[in-house]
Amino acid sequence: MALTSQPLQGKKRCKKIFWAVFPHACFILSLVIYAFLGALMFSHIEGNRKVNSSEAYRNFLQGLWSISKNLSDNMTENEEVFKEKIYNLLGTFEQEWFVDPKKIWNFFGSLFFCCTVFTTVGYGNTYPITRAGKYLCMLYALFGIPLMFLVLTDMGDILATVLSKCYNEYRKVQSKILDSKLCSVFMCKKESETKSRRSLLMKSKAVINEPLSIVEVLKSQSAFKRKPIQYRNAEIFEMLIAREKENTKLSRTKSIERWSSCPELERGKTMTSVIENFDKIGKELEKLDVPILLMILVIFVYISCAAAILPKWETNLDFQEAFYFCFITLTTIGFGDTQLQHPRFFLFLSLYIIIGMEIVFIAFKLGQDRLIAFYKKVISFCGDKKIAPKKIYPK
Amino acid sequence: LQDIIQAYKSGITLQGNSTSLGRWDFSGSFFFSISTITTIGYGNLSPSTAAGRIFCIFFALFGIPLNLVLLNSIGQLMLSGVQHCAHHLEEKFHWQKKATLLMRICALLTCLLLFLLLPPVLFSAKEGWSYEEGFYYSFITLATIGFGDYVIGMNPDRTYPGWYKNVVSLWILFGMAWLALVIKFCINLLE
Repeated sequence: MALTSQPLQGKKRCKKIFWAVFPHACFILSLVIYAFLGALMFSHIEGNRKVNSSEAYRNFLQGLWSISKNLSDNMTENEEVFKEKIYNLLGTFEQEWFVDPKKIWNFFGSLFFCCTVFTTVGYGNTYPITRAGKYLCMLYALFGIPLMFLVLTDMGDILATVLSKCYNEYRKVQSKILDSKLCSVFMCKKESETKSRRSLLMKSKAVINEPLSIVEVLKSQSAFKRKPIQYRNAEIFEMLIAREKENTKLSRTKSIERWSSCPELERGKTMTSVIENFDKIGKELEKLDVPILLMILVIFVYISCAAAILPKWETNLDFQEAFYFCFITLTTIGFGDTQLQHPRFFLFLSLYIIIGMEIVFIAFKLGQDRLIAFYKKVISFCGDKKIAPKKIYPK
Repeated sequence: LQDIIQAYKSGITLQGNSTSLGRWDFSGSFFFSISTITTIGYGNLSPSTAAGRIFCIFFALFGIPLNLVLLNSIGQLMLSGVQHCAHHLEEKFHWQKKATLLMRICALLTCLLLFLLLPPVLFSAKEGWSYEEGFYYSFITLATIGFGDYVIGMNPDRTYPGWYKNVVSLWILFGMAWLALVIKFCINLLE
């Protein structure tokens, strides 16, 4: 019996792994398909734009011709006059006159453009000029940005889990070292070990698994510990209320859990767990608690890696410029002042970009939480100051 | 010809006489800071010195979470305002559940009008763009894509009134808060 159940178990495990990976792969695949579709559409619409030499273009060329014709031989005199005239003329310049749409809007160019749209980076070195292109761009962004956001949140869960596990391992090692040092001095080996192990286990539970009780979880979070006591109660109260509100939503998922406990629906269990996983998207991200300086350090190291290899094929960028460019891209600001010579190679780094945007997104989320906590502190400090003088009067 | 154009693009910051949003004076820099922390990033103005870039990086690192917090708070304020009105309506007319739905639809339509359909009219009046171009600009700005092909206040031939930039900054702020709220609602509806 043991022999026959082994291959069955192997099959089960494969199935489990497949269904675990499937939703994530699904999201990424849909994003890739969306990008390719968009690239095809844009290269068709914008690449086939008719280039007609407009009136303004001809005037511009004529102006340029007449300026160069009227230059005298004296060099110093020329500079001032030339600058003035050229400046006035170039005010009428339009980029679309000098670019060949077929070259810029080939498949890879359109793919690059689509990526800048749904990641909301928006460099602006290529942009749609035809009317249909503009409308398509807006429609494309309307559906693409939420899709990208979904992929980011989904992968963010994985990244958050990895980060918190690493951080917990690091803290375990750190406290083990501390314990061994303390124990050699105080000789209370067993007690401290079990205590620290329990507290660490609570921490890792709180950060990775579903919390059993809010108060336990809150007490183990290090960020929470830093706040003064009056605050903790207020926060616990707020969280309890928030949880009550959530319970009305939770009743829906509870019904799914009930039928998955029925043995006849064993086959359906994998599907329900997949459906449950869809509901859990973003929950890991919300529970992450890692010091923000660590996140900033991770960001800087990550960007430096790219900034070190980017100048290899972009010869006009040095390390500092490549760093600036990567930062501006990963925060989705995307000025577009740095022109890339080979945008295709940058597309190959798309996995790097997604993970980088993830990390930046997580760091910003953490930053938000810290900021809110800081504001609350400041406000309560001001509030306390106001109450104190009032207490004097009743005397 | 390409070289001249390249030189012009890099030289524009040297010449005066351009509009106030194209130079690094106070209003231009203010608009640049807004486009950085909201992550729109038009690119019509961007730092070229090393010190400026390093400062820009740190500025963005602190500014973007701050902006997110602000957007969240504004969104919450707007939401509570709508719920307040719905509550008042309920008490006055005894409509119960219908009031909240009606109020929400009403609020959605007014905000849509205010943030997406009316600003292009302002832009076509002040910038000389067509309504479509103004709508395209509004959408690309509120989605924080920000190509930079259309940017307000960059036309040196036009004079802009004093309140123009401030009104546009306010519009960007509230519009983005509203859009974030709408997206949150849609995600909640889908669940």
